[in-house]
Amino acid sequence: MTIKWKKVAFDVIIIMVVAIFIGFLANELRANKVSLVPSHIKSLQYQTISINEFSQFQHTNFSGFIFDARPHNYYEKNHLPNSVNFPVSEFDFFYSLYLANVSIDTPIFIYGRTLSQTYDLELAHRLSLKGYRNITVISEA
Amino acid sequence: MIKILKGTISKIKNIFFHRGISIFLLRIFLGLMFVYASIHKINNPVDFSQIIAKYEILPFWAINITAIILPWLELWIGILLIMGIFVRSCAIIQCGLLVVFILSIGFNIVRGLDFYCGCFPEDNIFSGTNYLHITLNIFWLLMAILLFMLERRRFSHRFLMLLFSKKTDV
Repeated sequence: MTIKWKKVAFDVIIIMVVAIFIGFLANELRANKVSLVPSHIKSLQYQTISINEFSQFQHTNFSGFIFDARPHNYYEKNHLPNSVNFPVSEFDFFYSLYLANVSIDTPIFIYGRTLSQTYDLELAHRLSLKGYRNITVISEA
Repeated sequence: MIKILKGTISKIKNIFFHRGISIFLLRIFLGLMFVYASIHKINNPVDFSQIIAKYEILPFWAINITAIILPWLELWIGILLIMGIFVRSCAIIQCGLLVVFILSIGFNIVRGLDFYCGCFPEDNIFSGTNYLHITLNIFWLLMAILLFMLERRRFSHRFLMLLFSKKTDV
């Protein structure tokens, strides 16, 4: 039996291209469509700082909050010194716990990103919607 | 008597091991399975994207794109298999997808993560991050490989072969 790999490869490409086209077309046409990039990643209403810069800054003059936006089990494994857990999945509860009576100008530093989840950007986005203006996301790089 | 028995056994053998019937059954089973698996993902793309993110395998920028394309790829492959079009190519893509699913679920078992896998609807017995799911995926992978080996043609129907090409590659 000889397999005509060129024909098989050509057909595979056709199938993939059609599936991608149908997928994007159907997504555009539906009411509850999924955005290609999550909305909280697009809105850049926060500053970023590298973790090295942050550790230097923390030693000199620090005031404000350091939030770890990841779920509790991630926070338990490891977290930044002086940070508190603010899981973005339970935003309302932790917002009332930490920030209910805090000025919107208070510096807030947010940490917490995994390979697939941008908890930090989501929390920054949700806090910016609440009116907080002094938000800084701490990045790994 | 023995001759009649031998004849009957050989007839049954011919029916079950007939290439055409085997290909037909494999096509229909694998095709229907992929169509069934795709429907709930197409209906709930947002939920599906969150499930993909839980796997912690893809980078965050690829999550939504995968959630948009993957269900439609599954549906498209399923339909083509049922119709008997591009069978070998569909079988190859199916093998690739099943290998990815097996590795992803296995990776999560090793890491100790246990959550709804998203492959089938949540109330289905095949859903879950467990060894039964991996065993079933391996079984389906073997079926897809068998289909690829048995089917030598681009189209499973004679009229499609005539329609798409003058010189068939049977």
